[in-house]
Amino acid sequence: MKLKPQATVFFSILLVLAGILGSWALGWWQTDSGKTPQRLETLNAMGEAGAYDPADIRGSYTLSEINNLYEVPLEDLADAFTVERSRASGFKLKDFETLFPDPDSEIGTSSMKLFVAWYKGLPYELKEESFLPAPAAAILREKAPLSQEQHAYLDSHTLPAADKGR
Amino acid sequence: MRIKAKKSRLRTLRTVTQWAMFLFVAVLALVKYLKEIGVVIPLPEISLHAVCPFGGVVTVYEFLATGGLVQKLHSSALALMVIGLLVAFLFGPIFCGYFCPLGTWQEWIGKLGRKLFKKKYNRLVPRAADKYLRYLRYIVLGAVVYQTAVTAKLVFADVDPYYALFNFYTGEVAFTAILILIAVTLLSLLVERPWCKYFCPYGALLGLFNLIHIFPVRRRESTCIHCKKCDAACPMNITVSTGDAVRSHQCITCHECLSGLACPVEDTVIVAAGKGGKQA
Repeated sequence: MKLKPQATVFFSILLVLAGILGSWALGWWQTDSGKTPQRLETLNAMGEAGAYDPADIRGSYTLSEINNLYEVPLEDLADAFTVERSRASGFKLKDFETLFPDPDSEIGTSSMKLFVAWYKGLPYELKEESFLPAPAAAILREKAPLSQEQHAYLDSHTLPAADKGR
Repeated sequence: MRIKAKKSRLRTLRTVTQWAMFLFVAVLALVKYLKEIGVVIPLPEISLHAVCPFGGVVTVYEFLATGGLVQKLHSSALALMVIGLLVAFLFGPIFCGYFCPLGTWQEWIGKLGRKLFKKKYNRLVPRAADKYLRYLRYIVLGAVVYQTAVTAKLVFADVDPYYALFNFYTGEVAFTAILILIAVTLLSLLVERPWCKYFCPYGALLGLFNLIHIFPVRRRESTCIHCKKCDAACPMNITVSTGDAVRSHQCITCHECLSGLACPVEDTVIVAAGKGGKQA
């Protein structure tokens, strides 16, 4: 069966549009992750269920959104990661690299996940080594219900604040 | 006269689809960037990762293993992957030939290369080496899928010239990706579509559908005058003139070899379903 080349292009475009429409109708067409993280099914240290999962923190979140979703004071978030308080509200996690430009500093979204999880006593599985700046470690030691293991982890995974990186 | 009219229509269609896709992706990237720096625009903010079918390919393992997606990717990428594979099963890698903005970019640079190097253009890589280099993109495909599965991160973004091309001004592109984009651009002056030929992992996957897709390019031996103009027109250096159907994994379904474009004889190099014949 012969087909005009123009027809193959039109059919392709039609298939793509129909496919997008179909997946949209079925609820499979999501072009963003939304701003609502998944909830934990397990209890936290305070015996509360249904808190937002810190593992679902994304690089597109601002400190203000983390403050609202995870109920960590904005001042603590800003101070922990050496973000100026005046610009903390709209500061996105993916912009950590502007504060910690050393690519080996390891301070990024995973650091915030760890900080929020331990600050709130939420369960969090460390899938990769995460480092924290010294002020973040200090705030955790002061305000969070840390275990001996967590204290030991901070001992070996804290970066000096002075050089904002390693 | 009739052939000239057809030629003009098909080439115009290809030019229009290439420009439209290039502008669409450029506008998506620009809107996202402007919104991120606080400019108010009445358009939806969509990440390029959300509309990248290759994103769907690299996240398949994560999706099957955990039900989730690799970070930065969304379900739209999975939907586009499925749609893209279906289209490739019917018509071959038509995405590469008509829609891929990076392919279009390379073609634009290639036009300058053709002027500079004339007949030597796209004939500079020795055939013996070229033959094996063409399989590099399968290694890239395997490495990217494996690394993404292991790390659950979008590792390809750090070397992706497509992402770099549309986001180089945003500060979000890895230096390595910028370097690769520059290298691809410079190579495009010498070789037609070097990224597609040697490195593109998505092209590698779609290229496999050339072996099985329903509507391949076919050559009618009975009317062929063996002028080899189809061979000369192929940007991927496929020898169209010796087989009955183009089943090379490198074909990008650009249709440049067809009757009315390169082939001067009507109804000789065509798009048609059917089995059998010697394969080019």
